[in-house]
Amino acid sequence: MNGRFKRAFRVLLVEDNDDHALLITESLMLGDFPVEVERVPDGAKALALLASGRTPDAILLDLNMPGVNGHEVLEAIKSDVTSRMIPVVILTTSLHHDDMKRAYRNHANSYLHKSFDGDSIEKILDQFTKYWGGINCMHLN
Amino acid sequence: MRLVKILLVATLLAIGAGAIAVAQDKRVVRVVVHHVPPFVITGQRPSGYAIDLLEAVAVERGLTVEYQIVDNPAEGIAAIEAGDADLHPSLGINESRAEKVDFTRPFEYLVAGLFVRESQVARLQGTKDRSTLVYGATQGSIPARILNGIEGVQRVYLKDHNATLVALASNQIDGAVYGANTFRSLVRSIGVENKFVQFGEDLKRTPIAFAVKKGNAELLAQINDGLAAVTSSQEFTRIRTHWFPSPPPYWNSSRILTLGVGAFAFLVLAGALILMRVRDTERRRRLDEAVRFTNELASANLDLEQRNEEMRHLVYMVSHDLNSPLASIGGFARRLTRGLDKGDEAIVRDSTERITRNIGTMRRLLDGVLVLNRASSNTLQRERVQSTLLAQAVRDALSEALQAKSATLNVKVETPDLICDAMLITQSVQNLIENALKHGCPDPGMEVTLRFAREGGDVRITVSDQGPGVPIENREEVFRPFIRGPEARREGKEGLGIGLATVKAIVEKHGGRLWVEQDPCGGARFVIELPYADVAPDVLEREIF
Repeated sequence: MNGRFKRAFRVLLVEDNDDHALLITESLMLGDFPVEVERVPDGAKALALLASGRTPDAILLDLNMPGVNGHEVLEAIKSDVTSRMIPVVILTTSLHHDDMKRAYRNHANSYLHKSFDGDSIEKILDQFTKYWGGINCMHLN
Repeated sequence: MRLVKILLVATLLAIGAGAIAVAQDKRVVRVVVHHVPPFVITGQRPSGYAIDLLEAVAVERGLTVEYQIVDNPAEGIAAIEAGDADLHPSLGINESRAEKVDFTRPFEYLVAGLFVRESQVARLQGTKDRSTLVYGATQGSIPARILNGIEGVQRVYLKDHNATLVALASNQIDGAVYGANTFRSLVRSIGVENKFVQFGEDLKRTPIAFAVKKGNAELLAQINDGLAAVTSSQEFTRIRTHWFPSPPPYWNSSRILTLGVGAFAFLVLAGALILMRVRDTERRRRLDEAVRFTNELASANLDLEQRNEEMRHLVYMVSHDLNSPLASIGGFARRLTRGLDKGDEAIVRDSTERITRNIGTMRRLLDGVLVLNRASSNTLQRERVQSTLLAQAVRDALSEALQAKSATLNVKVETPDLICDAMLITQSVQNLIENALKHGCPDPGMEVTLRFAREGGDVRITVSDQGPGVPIENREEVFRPFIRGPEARREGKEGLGIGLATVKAIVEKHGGRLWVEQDPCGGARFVIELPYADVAPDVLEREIF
């Protein structure tokens, strides 16, 4: 592994749409950073995973999901002492003000618009990785 | 040179003559109309059965039509006599009118009756002294002439058809003489048809025709020729089927709201005046009835608002559901290009497959919306449909889906036929069975049962499965247009949640009911109930499949 990095950047992707999950995972792997992506298809499985002690460096969370929806997952993560320090970045197609306000009120660390036009998804995930990955995985000298 | 000049002048003259000829062909006919649904409905632009007929005649004869609106037939006739209008497209023929205007051949018949509030029937039947009764009709109309001939009661003439209905509804009059079609059309459009009934026999059958100014032989001949041509054409069948019988317009909100607000305001005023003399118990009783009527109007309004809300939600969900596969297609198109650049055939093939699948998802969503829209429109083509043929058509359409689930379709035909719109009901039954396959066949080798049976004056089509059934608390919700199960959403595959709402709209268009219950064997049982004994087919029997 590159000497700049202590280890790979571990991302938990919570996304119900299989097609979107594939595109997002591949984009994350395309950058300079070494990224390990674990994907779960719904909020319940995400919470179970966190409860089992497997802590990712950051969580990418979709909002429009069946069953437990993204907002409820965010609330659950940020109200639990063992998980609230994990950065949660919302990645969603919704540009509704209500969704944004609610997400920030529930302490989302960031809110990204999921768009596959052109290379938007790569650019946005690159910034995501550099910021949160940098904080967690680069050597600090 | 001189020859050229002659040719030039000749050409100009020819063009001029042609222009005059063309201009003369577009004769303008000034038409006067008053509100008498379903013949003439005076909205932003007049519409209705007689209007459709008139416009067909105008096209056939190369005429342009200009409309003027008056309150009632008397004013219409006066306008024609005064020369302010040329034609009236919907007047009942009688001797005294024939002295003032010339009539074409009739195209329809008006049957008049006395209409009363359903709650008053017992009282009216028991009333010995008829001179206490007040009957009303629209002034200058054929029903008004009929009313004139009814002896022994008090008679009131109202300004127009709406005023007459409101007077009847608020108990200002005990009965109203009305053309049956007009009355039924009016009350159906507000949704209060259950509150009124015809009292007694049909009163009179009057032919209805177009009328022109007396002595205008040229226009009369034109219109008669036009009518002859139109009434013997397919267009006439289409127009007539469109207006008779006409199920209530599904979203005629502005019409209903206007009449509702007007009647509500009138009733509130009536209520206030009556309250001032509250010691009189007779008036107190009338107040209660007016209040009840107001409440019914209010709940009809609420119902409309709820439908509008559902429509807005549906539009939101549809646009969201189209965005998702569209975004995926964009992403996979780029991935495909990357695959081509790298020479990675696996990525190219996989990306192409995913693009195709997402396109299919969008196509299915749009088809579902289009069917839902068609189901909400006014036109139903009812026919006598053989149960066995319908079942076979559904079985054929679903053979692949049945195979995929290793499920069997068990068909029980206990009644030979039903009367319905073949295409829409076939689609509906198909939707129900698709639903049963999706949610009611968790294991391979299960059975879905399709049954046709008579239940009194109705036919019931039931689709039962052996799955987990629908919990009681969800049995209303499943028919709303935007509820769907979690698995279907995740895979973005079939079941975009519009199917059951479509079926409900279709069944209710037929005047039937749709519900889900527990099958005795444990699974879900969806029931479509369609009227049978009291309905007539719109078209004659034909081979449909």
